[in-house]
Amino acid sequence: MDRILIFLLDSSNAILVLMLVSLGLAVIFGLMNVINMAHGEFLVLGAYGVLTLQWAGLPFAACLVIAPMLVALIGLAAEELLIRRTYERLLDTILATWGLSLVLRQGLVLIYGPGSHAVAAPDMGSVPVFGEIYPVYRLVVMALSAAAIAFTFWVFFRTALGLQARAVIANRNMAACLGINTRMLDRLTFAFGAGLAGLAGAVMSPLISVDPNAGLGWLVPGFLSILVAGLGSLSGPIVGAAGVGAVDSLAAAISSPVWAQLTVFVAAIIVIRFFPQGLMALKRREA
Amino acid sequence: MSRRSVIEMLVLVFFVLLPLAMPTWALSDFAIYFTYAIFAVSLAFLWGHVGLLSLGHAVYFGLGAYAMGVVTLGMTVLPGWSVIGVILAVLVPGIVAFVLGSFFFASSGLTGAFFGIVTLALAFVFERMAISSTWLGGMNGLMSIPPVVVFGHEIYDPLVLYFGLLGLLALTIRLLQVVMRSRFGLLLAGVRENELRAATLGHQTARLKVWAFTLSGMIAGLAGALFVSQFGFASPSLIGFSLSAEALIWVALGGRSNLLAAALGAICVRFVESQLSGALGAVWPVVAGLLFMTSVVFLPRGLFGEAMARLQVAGRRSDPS
Amino acid sequence: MLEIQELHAGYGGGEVLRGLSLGVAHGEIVALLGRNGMGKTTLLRCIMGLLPHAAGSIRLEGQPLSGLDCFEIARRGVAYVPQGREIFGQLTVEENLRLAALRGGTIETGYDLFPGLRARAKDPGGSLSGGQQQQLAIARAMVAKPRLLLLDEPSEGIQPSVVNEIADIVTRSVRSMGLSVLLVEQNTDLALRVADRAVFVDHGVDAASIASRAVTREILASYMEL
Ligand SMILES: Nc1ncnc2c1ncn2[C@@H]1O[C@H](COP(=O)(O)OP(=O)(O)OP(=O)(O)O)[C@@H](O)[C@H]1O
Ligand SMILES: [Mg+2]
Repeated sequence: MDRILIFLLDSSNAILVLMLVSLGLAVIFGLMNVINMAHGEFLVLGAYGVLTLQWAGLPFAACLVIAPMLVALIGLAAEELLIRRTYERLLDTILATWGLSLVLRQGLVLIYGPGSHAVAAPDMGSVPVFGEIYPVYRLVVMALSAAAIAFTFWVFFRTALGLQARAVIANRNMAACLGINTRMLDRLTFAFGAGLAGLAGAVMSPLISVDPNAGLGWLVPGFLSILVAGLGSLSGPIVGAAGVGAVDSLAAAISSPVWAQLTVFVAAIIVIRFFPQGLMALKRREA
Repeated sequence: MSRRSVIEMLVLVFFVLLPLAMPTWALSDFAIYFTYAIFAVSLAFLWGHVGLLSLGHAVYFGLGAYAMGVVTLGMTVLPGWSVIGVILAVLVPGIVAFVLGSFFFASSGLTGAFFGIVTLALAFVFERMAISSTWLGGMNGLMSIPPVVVFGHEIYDPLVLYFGLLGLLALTIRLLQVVMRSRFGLLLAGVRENELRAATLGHQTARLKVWAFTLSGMIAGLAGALFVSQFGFASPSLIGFSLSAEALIWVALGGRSNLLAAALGAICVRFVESQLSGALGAVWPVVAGLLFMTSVVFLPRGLFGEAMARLQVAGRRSDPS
Repeated sequence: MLEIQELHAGYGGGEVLRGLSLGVAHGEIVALLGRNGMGKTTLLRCIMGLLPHAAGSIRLEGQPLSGLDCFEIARRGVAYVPQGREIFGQLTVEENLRLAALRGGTIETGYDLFPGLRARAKDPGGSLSGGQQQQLAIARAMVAKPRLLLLDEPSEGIQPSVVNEIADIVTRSVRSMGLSVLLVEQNTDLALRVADRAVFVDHGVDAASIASRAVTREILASYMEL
């Protein structure tokens, strides 16, 4: 019983963070039709941001707030300098962002060295959860991730900005005909998506080894998550990440992390191959 | 002779004469660059001509490399002859590409970005498998792979390697050009331009793509085999993400829709890298990445692809016939 | 209000508009008539900034629109009801209207124009009938409080009784607000009934500009029949 509980908590933790990553990818893809291969590096930048700000003497909570914002700024710059020049060329967005990921990764090597760093975990102790002792910080990670996901949904479905974004996703030209500044929305969206990845990296920074190559391990599961559930809605990445994360956790519990990842990838590839519209389209058809 | 073949001839002549201006040890470096160029050509054929962007093409290169290594190290029941190694290094990736291709493409299968992401995920899968396989040497890979043996002679003389691989590269480009101009190749171009129309004209576009993918995989495998027998060892880095990414850079920088341009891209990037990585060190990948991004944005046809296209246009203008 | 001079525009290689000139005065309703494929939609897309023009000028109240982004042109008071309506099918009726009202309008304008929309406020736009979708598209344009309204074949695909009703409502409202309108319409009877003036487009140029009352069967036949 106790082992199962801890397992469930750990899995939820991993799943929630994966949801953040996929959500960022999906937001960027949905609005701008950009496949962001640099998303994993944005996550890693979030972690390095915390590391650096901590070195500078800032308290951990401040780092958690500032690091994602810095990543969002980097995203903004990338959009302006690079991404917007490849709009309308879907495959070229892959290449351009791939190049960006390479530069960011190697930039981190240059600045911080190729090795891995450890971010000092905030000392929050542990609390009993349903009779089991569990580290408080991991609960904080879950709460922050869930809050960020809820915030994203709130922005998209409850604010004027979100309404405009949904209009642009549906029909970019018509949205512009109503006076919506689509360029501005592109910028904001990319920065927001990058910020979500940065937040994921920031909250995870004390729990992972922070190294320049850590991004790839998040990028591919993130993509598989959004493809498995299907593009075109915000709930897609949430459902997909839940599925991918759950299979990963289960398989890891049964075998090893390596085999778990293989299982997830192969299963996801099979799903994507047979349901290119995603599994959620299936349910929609039945309904 | 068309302007295009004049350019191709001149490039070939340049590389035939190049050893005169080079120390012997540099020749074997160039032999390796030519090997990478064969790999680049296989990717450019798939991407530029068929329109399939494979983000994990090193899988087939790596499979060829491991197949060659396993055979020539005598790890199989087969005799450890180079010929058998090369044959398997072409067959194994070919079969894998055929099976995966059939799976991907059959009946309105994966296209565009989906194909790219799935191939990327596959590169991870294969890299992980290579790392976790003790038979294949795990993280360290296979070491002391012998050179190719032709009629009882081990080929390690730099000059022989240089011309041997230059010849093979030229042959590969020629072969693929013939394929591209054949009926099969024209149909593939049709699939690239408008798959739906090709399908409504009654062509089995899925099967066309499967065979193109298989052919590309076989050539990548050949390049892998040639690589390990010069380099001496096969490691998981040959099969996974990083080499796939590098190959994409070569092809994008060189020119995706022109095989020769892609080959020159591989040779040049590798050469420049060897010249600059000493001076620039860890800054080099940043420079390469920036160049890559710049070319994607401003020179979608690539450096050499653009140059050749311009030369050809200039040729057509000045030559009214 | 709107002055277009010697406009040239097209897609890729082919030129569709070949030196078209046209004006719409304050409070004037101009019908743009012509056979299929003569470039009427192309002209509206140029005015809206959805398509760049190669030469010529478009001015709104004396201000050149060339080089402005579509959203800027919209914010200067040009509203567009495109051919095929292009409402946001996934968004609710109310959200469709709210989008247009973000810059200082009110969605009540839309509901007052077509009260039937109010009952469907929470339904997705895509679930409306063709006539109601057209109402929504027009309401959406009016909510933005435009100075110039561009209508592209509003009667297309709608049953005749509904068409006349919509036409009457829109005409009355437009007249009372003093709006300028550029109307593209295949139904020439309807167009001539509501418009002050008709401009005939032929192969990308303005072939004639005639007061609606003065348009005869012969004139119509020469510009509209194949
Ligand atoms: N997106 C496009 N790309 C290329 N050519 C186009 C495009 N849209 C329209 N055309 C061409 O431009 C010409 C004018 O088209 P346009 O839609 O402006 O005509 P129209 O007068 O609105 O016709 P209709 O009455 O059928 O709506 C046509 O010959 C059409 O084929
Ligand atoms: Mg039209």
